[in-house]
Amino acid sequence: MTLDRPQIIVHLSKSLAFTPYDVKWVPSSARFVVIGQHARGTGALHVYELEKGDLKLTAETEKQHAFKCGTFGAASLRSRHFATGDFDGRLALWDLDRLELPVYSVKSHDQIINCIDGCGGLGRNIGPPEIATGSRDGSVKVWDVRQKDRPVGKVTPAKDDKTRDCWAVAFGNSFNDDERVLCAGYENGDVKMFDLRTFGLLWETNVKNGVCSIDFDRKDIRMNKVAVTTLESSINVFDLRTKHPKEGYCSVTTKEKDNTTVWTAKHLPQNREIFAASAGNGGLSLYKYHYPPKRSRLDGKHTPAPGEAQWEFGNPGTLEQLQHTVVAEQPVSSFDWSMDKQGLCAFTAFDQTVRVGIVTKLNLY
Amino acid sequence: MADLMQQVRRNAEDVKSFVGDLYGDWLADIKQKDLAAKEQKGTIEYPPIRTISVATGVREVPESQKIPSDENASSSNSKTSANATESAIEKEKGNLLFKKGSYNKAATCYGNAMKLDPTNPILPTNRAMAYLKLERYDDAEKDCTTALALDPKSVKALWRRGIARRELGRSDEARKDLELALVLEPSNKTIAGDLKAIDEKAKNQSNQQKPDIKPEVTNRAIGPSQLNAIKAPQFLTQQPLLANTPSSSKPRNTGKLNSSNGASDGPTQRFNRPSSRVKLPITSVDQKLEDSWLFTRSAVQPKTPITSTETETKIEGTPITSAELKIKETPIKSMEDRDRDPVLAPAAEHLQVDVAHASIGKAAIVEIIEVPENSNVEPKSTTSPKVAATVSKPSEQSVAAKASDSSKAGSRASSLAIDKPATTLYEFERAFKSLKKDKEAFYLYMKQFDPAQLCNIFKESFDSTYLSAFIDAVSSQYMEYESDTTIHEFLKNISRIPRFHLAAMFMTRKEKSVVTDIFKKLENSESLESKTDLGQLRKAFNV
Repeated sequence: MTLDRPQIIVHLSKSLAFTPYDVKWVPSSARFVVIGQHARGTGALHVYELEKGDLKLTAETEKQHAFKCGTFGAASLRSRHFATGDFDGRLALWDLDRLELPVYSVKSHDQIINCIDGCGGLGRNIGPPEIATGSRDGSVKVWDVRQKDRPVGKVTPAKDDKTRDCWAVAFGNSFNDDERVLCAGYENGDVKMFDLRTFGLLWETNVKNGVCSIDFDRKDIRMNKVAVTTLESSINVFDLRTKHPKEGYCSVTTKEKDNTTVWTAKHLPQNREIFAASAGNGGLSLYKYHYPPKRSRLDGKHTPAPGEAQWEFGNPGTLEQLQHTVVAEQPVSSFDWSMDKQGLCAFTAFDQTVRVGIVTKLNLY
Repeated sequence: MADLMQQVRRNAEDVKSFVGDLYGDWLADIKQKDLAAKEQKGTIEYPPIRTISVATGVREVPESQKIPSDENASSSNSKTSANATESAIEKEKGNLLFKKGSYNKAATCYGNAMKLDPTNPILPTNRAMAYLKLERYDDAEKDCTTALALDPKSVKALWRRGIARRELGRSDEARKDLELALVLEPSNKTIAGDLKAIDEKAKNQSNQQKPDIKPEVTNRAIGPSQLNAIKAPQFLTQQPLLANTPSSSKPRNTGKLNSSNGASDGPTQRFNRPSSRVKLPITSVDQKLEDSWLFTRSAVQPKTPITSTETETKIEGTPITSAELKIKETPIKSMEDRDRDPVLAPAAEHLQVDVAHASIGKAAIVEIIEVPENSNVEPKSTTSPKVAATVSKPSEQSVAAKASDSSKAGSRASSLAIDKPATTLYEFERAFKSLKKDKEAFYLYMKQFDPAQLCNIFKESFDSTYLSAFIDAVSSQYMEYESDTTIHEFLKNISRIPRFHLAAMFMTRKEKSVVTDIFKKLENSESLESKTDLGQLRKAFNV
């Protein structure tokens, strides 16, 4: 155990009466929301607050359908409505002070919503507030809360294609009101990037194993890097600044131990080169991305057509694992950094517990 | 070793300070922030909901961008490319409309596209094709010339211009164009065919089938079965059949069948369609029944009513007046069903049924052909209930409502002599429809009724129109011809009809006064025997 590296400490642990699937910090507060599924199949939503030495349950509710995923991404700071996707395919927005009825609800998909992401909220208002949901039916829909019943856009598989579950969605490149990019990962390893301004496919690739999660290092800047984690313990980080017309984006791949599934990767909000990865063996790893000396190089082999720019390859950087700690006996299925305190994080595991963790020494990196 | 221990200690200290800070300052701070966030005032202005925005030009933002001068350049570029994309959209719109057959609209879209992007030769070529379909050969030729100015080697433009010129009679120029097109695309047999057609056309000036306008037009318009059905040529050449596309089977599908007005689109092109005359041909097994189609009011000399002794049905309904013979929405189903079951002996009955069916869908104003019964037709009571039974499903009201009026019933109606009183509401309605304008006839008809039967006929469906008609009949005809006893009987039985009271409430003041007069007369009459229930009757009538 490397001792002068950042330490991952489990600070608090709370046992839950349901299987948690997702945890998210409430922006600008010391609270977080845990959602999941009771044994009887109903949905659970709990709000905990950090108190001296303990977690206090401040709100809880039980709903008809189990919750699978949630996000605050499209929430305004004032209302902080929590968007959830459930097993029934419903997208709902909740006001955490009034959990009886959702603020907004729509039957987004026919099957379970596997993944959700929001963009455009949280005080950094750049672009319309949108929520993307990806489902087992293979489609990805983008919703704007101001428009009832009809998604702003959707990506559906072609009719004759076998539908592949969508397992991960992420917004990125949202640096002005128009630009936004949606990245979707599928169970067969497909990663597709869609440009929401022109509703076209920007880039696609296949990472050979089912994609468990996708995370841009920042949503609100011009797209820089994206971490894609998959089954069979591989983490790919793509450099998105240089796109080669044929090869696409370059990437660096690293593997976790034990051939375990890497469930999530989350970049530290305060430092975009560091991200945490949670694994199926109950471990949490901390990685740092090192940029190469030159981020791109010219493609000597291709002579550009007149008027066309020279083709460039991107140079992938390197990943350094800063720390690895086993924090649970069961897979750590979800992880979230606090936006307000560097190093504070929360994560859930299939052992029906939610834990608050502390990562030290991050200020040194 | 010592280092290790130091490290451990340092780590522990780190954690301790972190936690201390967490629960100390940070927690207090964050709670404040939390509250502040909740209490934020003012609305947040979000950008509009995202839609497919086309006019934003270049998508790929080059890496080195964001220098102001570059932005200006890119914005002007984006404008032209915005126009290009918009014109592409207009073109697509035009293509869709063209496929649907709305050539006029397609031409408009292409015109818009041309304005947005004058450099694209495809757009005038497409519009020329639309004009060709619309038989606007002048315009087509002009557009082709424009296209050729932009792209002198465009085979399509040459080809279409050749055709346009051919149709305009300028065979030499047409030939030149088509020959050039053939040179550019020697493997295209259609062009060769068109070239030959010039010669043929030069010989044969009459309206020839234009080979380039797709032959599917004719096939769709008259199916062969329907062609066979038209056995009365003299009539039907002048009144060509309804262009029923067999494909549009649902009677609700009215959209396709606005061809009654000789719409220029699609299949109706070939046929000179008098503007409002459409006929319903039938594949009738029975010649006589067919002849009944020819039995129209004014266009053709009125024929004698069919003595449809053989037909087992009585098609009652309104005689067709050619002026009124507008099938506004067509009961295609009737055509189709006929095609399917041509051997259905009571074909006319079938027609009736289908028409009834059809009329349910949309407000199909269907002319029900009438085969007037003569008195020598013995009532076939078996079939009419059958008809009634089959049609009772579709709302009888609709049939009644939709059948057209029989104007000028007059003498006609009296010769109709519907001499069998109805036994069901359906029959009554049929009769009512045909007779309601002619009071005499109606009265005669009503005479036949055993008033006591009235109850049975109407059952639950009595309404105020009938009541008005009855009152009318009573006040006029009955008063004249009938004895007071009969009137009394009649009125009594009317009042016994279920739902009479409801209908009575709808009587107009005039009607009420009429009824009052009738009652007065009855009361004062000498011949009337039992006046006892007059009082009750009056109450029943609310007078």
